Amino acid sequence: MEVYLPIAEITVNALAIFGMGAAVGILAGMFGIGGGFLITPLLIFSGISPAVAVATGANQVIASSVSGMLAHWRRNAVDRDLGLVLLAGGIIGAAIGVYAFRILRQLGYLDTVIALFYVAFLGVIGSLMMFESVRAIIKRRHGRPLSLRRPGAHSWAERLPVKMRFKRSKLYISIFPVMGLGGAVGLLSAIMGVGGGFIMVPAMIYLLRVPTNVVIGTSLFQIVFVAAFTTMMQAIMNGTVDVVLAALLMIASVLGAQIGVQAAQKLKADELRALLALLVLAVCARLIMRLVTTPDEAFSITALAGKMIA
Amino acid sequence: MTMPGARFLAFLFIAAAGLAAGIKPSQAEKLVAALSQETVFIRSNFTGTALTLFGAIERDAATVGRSGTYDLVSVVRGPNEWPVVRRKQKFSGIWLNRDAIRFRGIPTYYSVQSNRSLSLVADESVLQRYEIGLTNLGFQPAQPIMEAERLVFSTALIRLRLANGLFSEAPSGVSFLNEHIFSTRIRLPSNIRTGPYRIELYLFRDGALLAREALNFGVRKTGFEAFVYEASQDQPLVYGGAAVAIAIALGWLAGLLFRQS
Repeated sequence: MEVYLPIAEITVNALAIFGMGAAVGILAGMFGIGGGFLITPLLIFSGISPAVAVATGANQVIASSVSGMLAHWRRNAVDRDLGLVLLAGGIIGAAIGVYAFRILRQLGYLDTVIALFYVAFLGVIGSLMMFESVRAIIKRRHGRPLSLRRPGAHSWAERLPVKMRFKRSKLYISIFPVMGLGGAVGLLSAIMGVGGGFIMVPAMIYLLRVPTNVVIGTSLFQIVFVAAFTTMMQAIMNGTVDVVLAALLMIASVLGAQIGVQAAQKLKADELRALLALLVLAVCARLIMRLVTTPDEAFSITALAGKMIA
Repeated sequence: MTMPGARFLAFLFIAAAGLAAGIKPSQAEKLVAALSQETVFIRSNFTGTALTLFGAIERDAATVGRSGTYDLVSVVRGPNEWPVVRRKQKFSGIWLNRDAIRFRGIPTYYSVQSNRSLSLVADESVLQRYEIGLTNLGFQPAQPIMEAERLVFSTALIRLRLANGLFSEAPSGVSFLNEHIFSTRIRLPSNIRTGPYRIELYLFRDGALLAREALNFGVRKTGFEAFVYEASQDQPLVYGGAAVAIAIALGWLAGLLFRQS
């Protein structure tokens, strides 16, 4: 079934896109991730321009995060104050990101920069996950219990000025690292079209020492609003959000996520993580290949689909 | 079909061209043509289409019979754009866009059909004057550059556009059904731009231009696709808001549906 995407301005096979969204959704459900960092490169591989893939990815992230956020909200597992400070940073980061996106697009460097960001992040995350899951598998096989790493009592984040009390998290820390983290994630949301939970969650646990019971909820709270802001900004400044593509992906990934959640309960977590790590590294390798191999065609034409620059 | 005014102008132009070529206007042939479709609609299942053009060469009673056969060339142009052509080069191990050239007013779609090879139809100078043929399209760079570079980039642009079907040249694309009636097919791929398209017909005999005629057709997005595209262009704030609202609604609905599981 062929579907014409009005903003991407190409005809795609709806079933292929749906299948891709569902597959990533299954993975997302299994691992409790948003899946944005897999969807965007897959869209690029299937011929959709990186600019549209990234902006549409941000739109899709909202759908995949909102139900989780609401569930955590009902369980009172969201630190609203911490979320708002993160969000303030996130909006600044996303605004800078969308602006940089526009400039890079005009210069013709956008596709390369998006690919480089993905190579860096997928490479680091894939390697860390692989390392960690292999270690877990070995330990499990040897029958030794896993020791959970406990965050220490003090962190550098407590020594900076302009401190704020976050009651829900029982924290009294400077707002600078919080806003900085929010800003970094917002920047990624704009340039990579991801939610950024895979950076947000570990950073909140290890850098800010946020109690684990509010980490996911608060991170989702921030992600939903930053992704919404990024989507608006991309639509206004770059005109690259394709709602038809986004809707296809959202429905597919939401359904896939349900399957993933069921499947995760029947499978061994560490082996699954190793598989996901392999997949992440494979996508990373494919992106590296695209960057370093001599292209069949060195020339390209940009008519700047979407908004023209005056 | 063209408006009467445009037809009259075209006639004047033919008459002027005839005079310039030293042919008396009373001897001039006239072209009449019709298209199978005057608007092409892009819907959600659009995978490209083709238009058929039928035409006839009219001669009035005063037209003297001449030896030789007619040659007909059809040139179709889509809306113009200022494309940026970029060249990837290796930079510290990575291929990235380095040089870029912007060209002025290049048609987004350009297709030339003729009944035989253009070089047999008319002299290069004539073809050049009317920008008939891919090599005769004027590539004016928006910034001053070296001629060699201009050539490299314009050749690349032609090659890329030929590859995705937006440029084409068919030396046997026009067929004569008899001596005076001809037809041609205009193939429009799925990636065509919306906007006004213009078909120019040129009638030659023995390398001399005898008549010209122009027709127009439009390419429009329609239905939901048009609505979405126009909203994204004209009302980006509303469009972005709707995109966010749809995402929230879908996410919320999913949470509601699958809550128990």
